[in-house]
Amino acid sequence: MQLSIQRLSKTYSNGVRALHDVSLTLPNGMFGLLGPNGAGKSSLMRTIATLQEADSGSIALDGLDVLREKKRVRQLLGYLPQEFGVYPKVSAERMLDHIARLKGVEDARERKQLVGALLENVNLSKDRRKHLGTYSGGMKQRFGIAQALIGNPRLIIVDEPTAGLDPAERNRFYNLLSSLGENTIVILSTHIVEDVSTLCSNFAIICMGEVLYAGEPDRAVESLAGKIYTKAIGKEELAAYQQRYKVISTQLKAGRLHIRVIRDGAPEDGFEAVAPNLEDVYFSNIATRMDVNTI
Amino acid sequence: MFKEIFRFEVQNKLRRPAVYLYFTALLIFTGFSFSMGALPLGEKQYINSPTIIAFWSAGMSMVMMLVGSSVMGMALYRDIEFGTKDYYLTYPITRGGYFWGRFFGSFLFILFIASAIPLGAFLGTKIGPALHVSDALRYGPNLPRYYFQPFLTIVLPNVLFTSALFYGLVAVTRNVKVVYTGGIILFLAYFISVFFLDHSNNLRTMILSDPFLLTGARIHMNNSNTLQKNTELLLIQGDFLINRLIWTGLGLVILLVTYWRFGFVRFFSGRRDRSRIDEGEARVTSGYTRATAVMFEGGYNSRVFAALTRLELRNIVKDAYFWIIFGLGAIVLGFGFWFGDGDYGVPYPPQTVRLLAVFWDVFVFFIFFIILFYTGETLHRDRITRYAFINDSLPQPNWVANGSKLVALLVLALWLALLPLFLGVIIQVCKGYHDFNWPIYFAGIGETILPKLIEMVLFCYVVHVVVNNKFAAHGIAAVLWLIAFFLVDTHVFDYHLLVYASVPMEGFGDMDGLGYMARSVRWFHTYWLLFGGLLIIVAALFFHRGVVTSWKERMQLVPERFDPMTRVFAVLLLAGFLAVGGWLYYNVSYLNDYTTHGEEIERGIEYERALKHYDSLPIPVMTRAKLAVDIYPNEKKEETRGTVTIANLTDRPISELLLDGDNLTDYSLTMDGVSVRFESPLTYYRGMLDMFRPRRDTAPYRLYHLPRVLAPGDSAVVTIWSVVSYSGIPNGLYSQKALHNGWISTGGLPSLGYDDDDEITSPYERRTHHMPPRLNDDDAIPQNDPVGIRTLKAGKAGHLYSLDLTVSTSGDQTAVGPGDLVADWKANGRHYSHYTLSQRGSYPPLVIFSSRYVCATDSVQLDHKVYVRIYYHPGHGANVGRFIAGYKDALTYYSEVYGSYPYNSISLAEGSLYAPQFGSTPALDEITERYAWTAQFTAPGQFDYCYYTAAGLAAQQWWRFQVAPNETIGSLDIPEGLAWYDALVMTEHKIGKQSMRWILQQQLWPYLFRRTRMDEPDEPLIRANFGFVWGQKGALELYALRDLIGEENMNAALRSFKDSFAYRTLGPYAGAPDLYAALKAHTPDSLQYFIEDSWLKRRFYENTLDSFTVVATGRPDEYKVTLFVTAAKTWIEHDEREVQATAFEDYIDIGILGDGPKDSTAGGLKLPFLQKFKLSAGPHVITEIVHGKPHMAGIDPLGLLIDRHPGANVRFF
Repeated sequence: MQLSIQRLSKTYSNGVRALHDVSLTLPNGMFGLLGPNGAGKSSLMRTIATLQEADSGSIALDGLDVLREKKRVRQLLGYLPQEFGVYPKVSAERMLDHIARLKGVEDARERKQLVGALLENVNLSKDRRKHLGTYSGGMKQRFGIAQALIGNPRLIIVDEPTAGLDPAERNRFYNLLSSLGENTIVILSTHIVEDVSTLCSNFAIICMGEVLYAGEPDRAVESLAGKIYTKAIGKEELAAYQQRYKVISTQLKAGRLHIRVIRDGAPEDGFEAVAPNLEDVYFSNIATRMDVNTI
Repeated sequence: MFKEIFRFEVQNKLRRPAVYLYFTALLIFTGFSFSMGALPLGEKQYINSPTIIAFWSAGMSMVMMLVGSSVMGMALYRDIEFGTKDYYLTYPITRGGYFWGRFFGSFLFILFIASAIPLGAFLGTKIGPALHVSDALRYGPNLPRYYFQPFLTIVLPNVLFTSALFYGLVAVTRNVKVVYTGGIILFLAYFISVFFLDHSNNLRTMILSDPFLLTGARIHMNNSNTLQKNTELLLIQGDFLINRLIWTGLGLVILLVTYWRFGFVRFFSGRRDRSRIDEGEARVTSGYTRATAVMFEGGYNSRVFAALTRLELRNIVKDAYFWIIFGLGAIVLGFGFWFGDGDYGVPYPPQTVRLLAVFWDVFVFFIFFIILFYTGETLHRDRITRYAFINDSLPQPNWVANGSKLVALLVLALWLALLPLFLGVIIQVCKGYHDFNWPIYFAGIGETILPKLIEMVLFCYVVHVVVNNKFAAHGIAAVLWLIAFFLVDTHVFDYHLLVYASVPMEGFGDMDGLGYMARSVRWFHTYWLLFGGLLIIVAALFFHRGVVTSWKERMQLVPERFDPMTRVFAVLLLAGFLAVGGWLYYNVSYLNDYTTHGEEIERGIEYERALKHYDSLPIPVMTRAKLAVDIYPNEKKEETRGTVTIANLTDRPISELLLDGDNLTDYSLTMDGVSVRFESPLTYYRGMLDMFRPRRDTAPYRLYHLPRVLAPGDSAVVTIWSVVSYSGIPNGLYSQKALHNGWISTGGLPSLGYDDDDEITSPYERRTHHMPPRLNDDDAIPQNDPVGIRTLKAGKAGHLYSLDLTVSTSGDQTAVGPGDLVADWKANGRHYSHYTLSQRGSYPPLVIFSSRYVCATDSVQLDHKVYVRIYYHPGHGANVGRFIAGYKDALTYYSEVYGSYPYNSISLAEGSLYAPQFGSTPALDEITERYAWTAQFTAPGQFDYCYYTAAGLAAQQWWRFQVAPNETIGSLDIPEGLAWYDALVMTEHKIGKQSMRWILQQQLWPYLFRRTRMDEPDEPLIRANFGFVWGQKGALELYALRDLIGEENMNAALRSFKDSFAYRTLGPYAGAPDLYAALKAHTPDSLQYFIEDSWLKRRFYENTLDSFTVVATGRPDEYKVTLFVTAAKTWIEHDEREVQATAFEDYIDIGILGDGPKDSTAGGLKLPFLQKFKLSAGPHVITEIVHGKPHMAGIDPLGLLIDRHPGANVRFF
């Protein structure tokens, strides 16, 4: 399966440019979308998930025109929105059964089996009969995951899926995603750069509606080899360093400001070369568009 | 802190359009009412009188309850709804600051909205005269205190109470539904409680129990005289003060208790957010399982459709508020069904046709608001719960997602449509009434209610889909629907083809169901349902799915959604709609014609301009008619053939006749064997909506040119043929006299002469069209008018005539006509009857009734045998015996005292629901199916108004058809006043004088009530200008006169009157002065004051029983009764000034009523004690010793005199 996005653009009626000429190619496997808030990640995901129109451009899923043939796309889609609600007076089990039916699982017994298994997978089995209105934030999120995975989705879009989950739940979720198998595209948007580097075979960085980088995480990191230097400075010195170097990130540790700069050659004394990581890739790309200082 | 929150609240609300909307709506409504005077005003009460302002203030501040819930409730609820609670909880705000800040911030706006009440009233009083919609004289001085005092003492406490109530409710329940529905629920609950308390009769309870002082304001207004109404404020003292203290106090208590219990944590911790602590280990799973088979073909769509529909229905049905609102509505409807209607205190059984009428009156609007409300809920639920983010990306196709919601709402509509069936049957069974009349239930629900509800659902649905904002859509849909309703209801624009969901709907009758209107209703509903189908297509194109943010995007999606399948449906529906529409248009605007209200007025003006000069044409009278009338009820056709003898009784030759055939479809005349030629002197421009009719429509007036001139004194025989038939479906009510079962024929004769009743009477319209003012407004022809006294009230061509009538109808029906039934037979599957009015003949009108009647016959021996025949609808025979008894007793008495009854029978026929309430023709009377026939008499003390009505109708045989009234003003005193006087006399003969009081009051109230509410003042009896004067007042004054001068004198007077005027063939005919003269001649000198007062003046007694004592004398069963009474009398002069009578000596009854003494040998005064005292103005003390225990005492205890406050005359004990 391959999802091919060509020159997708969308401007909201208040003039905000959500997506500008976005082109990406997504093969099978996990694809990570990284970007700051308001970058356009959710707009992109909603457009692929048939919830939103684009002004121009196209999206093709193995020859299927996603923008025009919404019904067929929905038949193989699993979508976990960034924000969503539930019917408060329905139980998780019943809601999942209903959604499974909507997703084409005809056989009642098979539905029951699937729903049961998935509720176990997301650790909601104990609470499956309780009304969704009584669920905590984390439980609701796990329900959302379950409804995205139920059925037979081949294109799974998860928007900030681990918000509200504790570390153990996060791990369980990622294990689940990993077991999805062949011939499935999973688009994962997240702020946690580490998740992208661990899980995703491809990723893209989006900022202000534009794709800044697309590629494989390992290669991206490799490309920065030998270019990242770090030094501990005083807070008051930051402005001076920003004048002279390309500071891509700063971190306050034990009262001292550790800065990381990107440079083709070694900078002046005091700087240490370090092995690059995906965060450096992220910040270095973002820094071309935004002020990334975290002070 | 308080200041901050208060300020924020105010700033926030200042920007909300809702507040301004409510203010404006209230302002406009109040202003409108005060400028038009559309208020329950009394006689000569100023539109801006303080009592009315107080009443209106109470009423409107009660109605404000509907907005109070959302304004005050949202103040608190906003933080829950928008989730802002999460940070509010962490701010250093104080509990008090928050609570009172929110409260007063919103309450300020409640006051702002409420200020529209006095402001609107004030503006109305200025706009009314300025725009000439109201006479400036109807307004008194605008004193500021008239506006401020009610605002401070009524409005302010009322809104404080409701504001505290809703604020408290939301604080405690934390539920948004209280915000929306709280207002409606309390509004309905208020009406139910008022209904109950109105029956309690305890004034104090009624005043105290109404939190809005509305009942109190109403009582205060009713108990004030005109002067008080116009000058006195509703002072807050006594019970009114207690009311204010109780309810304002309650409001404050609610507020304080709520504050005391209010806590941030409790308020903000929704039940939904109770956190759950996961326990236990997560089990290691075997990994994610995929479904083996997903199927989107085959039965997917239908199964998912069904599942989604069930889900939507469940969502509605699980909503507790749905059941509360629905339950309240069902209760209100149930009350309506249970208490039903009745006349004279006698209830009708819960007939299905009556229940359906109640439903249409009471429930339909309520259903509209339920449907509108739940359409909004259903369509917006997913977005409000934010489940839409998941749901909209699932694979169900648009039409399934959309359609399932729509179908769920249609199921809701079906459920609501079946409610009158369920509730009706339950109530009928509870009342032991088993005639369920299933055809009417099914026709009523299936053909009129259900289609209307479906149209409502489709309308609300498409508005909610297209207008994406729930509250805006509510507002727009409600406004549009109300506009459509008022346009049609007020006939401003009632062209049903252009007003959505409007059909020419009339009532249901037992005799013929919907009648021929069923066809109209069916076709118009088909038309509008097809249009509704197109609305569904629109909804499908604009259905909101996903995250759509702008109109541009929605329009972008339209072509995608307009797929081939949708296109096919759209084309089919459009074709069907146009086809049905075209056919209906052909019927409504080509086969028939439609004119707007304005066009009607134009036509009336043209009529007058073109034909007025024919008013001076001499008119012959009809002296003889021999007619054969054939009625074909199933073909909606009636045909008349016959000859009419006309005579020229004027002093001028007649060569032309102006005939008005608007009651006929076609007719022709032949005279001397020659067809009489005619021209149509008047054509109208066609109605603007009748675009295919010929440019000019021929008006039904024909000017016939007689082949030979009819000289004065000459007569001629004219052969006439006419046909009445109805083609096609017109826009409005039609064929109401021509039902399958319930035919009314007027004999198929055109009317003769120029009729000034067809002129436009409104002075405003006449001035606008530059017409001169009418000489004689509203039949006010003076009593010395030489033409008037020589013309019969029954018509210009009216005259004593003899009639030979053969009428035929379909074989299963009976046709009933006037006069003597000579023969009755069946032939060729048709039923023939032959009637004659011979001997001395009779006066018009001529009416024939045909239905599938059952006939009950009895007879009474007068100077000859007279049959009494009652023709009635099967199943409506419960009171036939009462009618028969009434006729028999009446005929016996009247023929004895007034003179012989000329016919060999008298008949009473049951008329359809379109027939007049009751009416009289020679030897044939009619009462509509809706009145009297099915009344359920269960208790012995009930007023037998069937007997009474029969007696009154019988009397008209003398007072309308032996003595015929002339055309001058007041002449209806004779047929109406005397007839209902006679009915009272017959009732008294049956039940005794002591039992007449309540019955007399039933005649008095309409007179007292209506005379203060007419645009023109009433005239004294001799020039009676309204029905309640010649009918009710006339009967009462005559009855009182009889009591004073004695039955013998009265009968002698009436007999002599009748003998002078009966069977006149030449004017002058009888007028009110003639009756007056006859009565006066038989009234002794000492009682002349009475007859002058009652006939020549508007005289009102105001007698009162101030107090009394009853003391046992010691002797067995003997009591000393002392009465302190005041006699008072007022005249209303011609200039409407009230003059108190100071020097009079009138005979007025003093009575002590009760059972007689137990010991019949006891001497002295026995009860009942009733004696006429000659009383002067002022107080008197009267003491009597009576035997027997008194039950009631008073001045004029029988209620014979016309008294403005009859309740003050007597006391019961």
